[in-house]
Amino acid sequence: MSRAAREWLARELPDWVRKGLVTPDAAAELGRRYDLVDAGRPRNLAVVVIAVFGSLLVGLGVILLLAHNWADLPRGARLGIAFLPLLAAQGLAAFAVVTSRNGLAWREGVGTGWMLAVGACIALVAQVYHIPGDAGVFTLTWMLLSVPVVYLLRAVLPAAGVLAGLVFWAGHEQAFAGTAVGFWPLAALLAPFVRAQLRQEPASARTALLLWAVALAVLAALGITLERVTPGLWIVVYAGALALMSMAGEAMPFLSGFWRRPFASAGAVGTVILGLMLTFEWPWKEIGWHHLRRGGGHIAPAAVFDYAVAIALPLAAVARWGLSLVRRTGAVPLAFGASAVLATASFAVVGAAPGAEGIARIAYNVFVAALGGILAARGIRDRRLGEMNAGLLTIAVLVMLRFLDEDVSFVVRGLVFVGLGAALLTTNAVLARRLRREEAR
Amino acid sequence: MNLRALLPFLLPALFLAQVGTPVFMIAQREKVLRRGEEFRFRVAPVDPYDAFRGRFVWIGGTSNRVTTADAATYARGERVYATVARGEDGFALFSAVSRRRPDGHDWIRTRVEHASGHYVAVDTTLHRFYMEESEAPAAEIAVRDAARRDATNRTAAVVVRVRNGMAVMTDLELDGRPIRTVLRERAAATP
Repeated sequence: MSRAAREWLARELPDWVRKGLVTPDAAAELGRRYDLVDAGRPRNLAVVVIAVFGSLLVGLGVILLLAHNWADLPRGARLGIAFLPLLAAQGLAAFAVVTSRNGLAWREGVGTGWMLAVGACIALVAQVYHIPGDAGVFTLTWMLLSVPVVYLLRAVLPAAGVLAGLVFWAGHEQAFAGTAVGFWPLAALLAPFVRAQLRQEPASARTALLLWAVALAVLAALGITLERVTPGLWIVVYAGALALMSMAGEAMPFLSGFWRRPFASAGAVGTVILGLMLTFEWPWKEIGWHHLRRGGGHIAPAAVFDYAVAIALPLAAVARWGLSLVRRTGAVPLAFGASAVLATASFAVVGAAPGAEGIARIAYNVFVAALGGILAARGIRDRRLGEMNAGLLTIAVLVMLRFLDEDVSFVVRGLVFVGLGAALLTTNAVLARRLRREEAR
Repeated sequence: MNLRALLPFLLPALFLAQVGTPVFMIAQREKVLRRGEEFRFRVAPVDPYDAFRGRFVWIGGTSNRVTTADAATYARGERVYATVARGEDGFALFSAVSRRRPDGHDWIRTRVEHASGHYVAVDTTLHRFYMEESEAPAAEIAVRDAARRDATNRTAAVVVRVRNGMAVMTDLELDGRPIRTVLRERAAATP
């Protein structure tokens, strides 16, 4: 039995006992049989949080102290001090590795402090010698020297830090050096770590944190690194990425809750927002290969990346969607996956026939409404208030947007808004009451 | 491959890389400071704030234009070598720009900021002079005043050592005296 399944079982068992599905004796027997004692033991989260927060504070405090730039100290002394935090962090890390102290608090705490110390040391040396601030080179050096920290301590926070740093670097490069496609191979340096983390503890809060960092970094970097030579290509790229994300997230059915399923949540929220945007006219204006942009800082070879992701992402998403279709994975993954198909088709149609944007907008109005409906339906079926409300809210926002941008009288708008609000409140009240009644039974 | 078995080698290698990077930066600059030629560039500073590195004086207004016949052939961002020389007033200026190392002169390796029909403007690489956080704003004001009032008599200059393409600032001067001395005297004069 895999560790993931054991963790899941360990979390579910108490609930089963409470609902009378299994007797306490049977639960205990199951626990022994599958060796759940270790998997189910609640990790001492407070200790980890305090360790990380503490080392963050110490690290930042030391940086501020050194940044004061004690002018009365000779250069040598100032340089020596700049190395102290780094050497201390290295010492702690070596101690942790040699003595096999691998508690979470140690690994995350030391890892966070260590990463900060690496950046601080370089920055302070730069200060002592008045080195002109090239934020791009500085960030890249810092991140490359921090990647091994992630692997050595198997720490999630430094990994999230590296991802954030690389996104910052990508933004800087795109603005000043022309292209930031280098982000992707650099970010891939963390891929083995993410994979290992997913395999070893798919249900842990740390993994969720890591996956949130990955999801947000990927979505941000996609926008930054696109060269935008072909206007409107972002629609296809983002739809593909978000669809893949939500389908991958939905494939972990043993997890539940918004924060626990980063890919499903980020993919769903992103797909809905993208869908709502595409019901407007502006994204469809002057897009496609008839409106290629040349010159003005656009680097044509870097656009190769655009085309690669614009082909690969929707293709992968459609393939994955087909798989869901065959395996009958349920309406929600199918609906979110369909976003990639719809976006690609719409882009092709509008690109070929610019007059067709009206059709694309109508299609997206229907699509977003359907997404909301399907999400709400699953929420009601599985008795999940949050999901039901997310679905209803999607529909409500869609209707409100339509009424705001069309020429409709205040009376009609007023009536529709009152109706929407009342519908939201009623469905919530009904479902909440039903949940309570079921629980009482 | 067992990573654990390689740990006794990987760990020291990582430590070395992390310490080595700043040490390399230090070694480069120390060499310039010890053996470099000293120049003074006239400056007119302005003021921003860099949270990560404390306060500094922003160095601006340094003359960075080089008049040259082939100016039109240089592109923005292109890597170039700028020759550093002394003008008639004794202050430093960039006397030539080229794509090859100007042997026999002092030079810095830099990039083209922009180029027009008859001149090339290069990045001076002299941007920030770090001081103690309480001193930097005062220094900024002192230097700006000096630059404004009567520029003929009073001068602000940054002292730089140049060697093998690298320029390292050593001091900021007001009328030929170190900025910290001037600030200390001012603080003593005002009760």
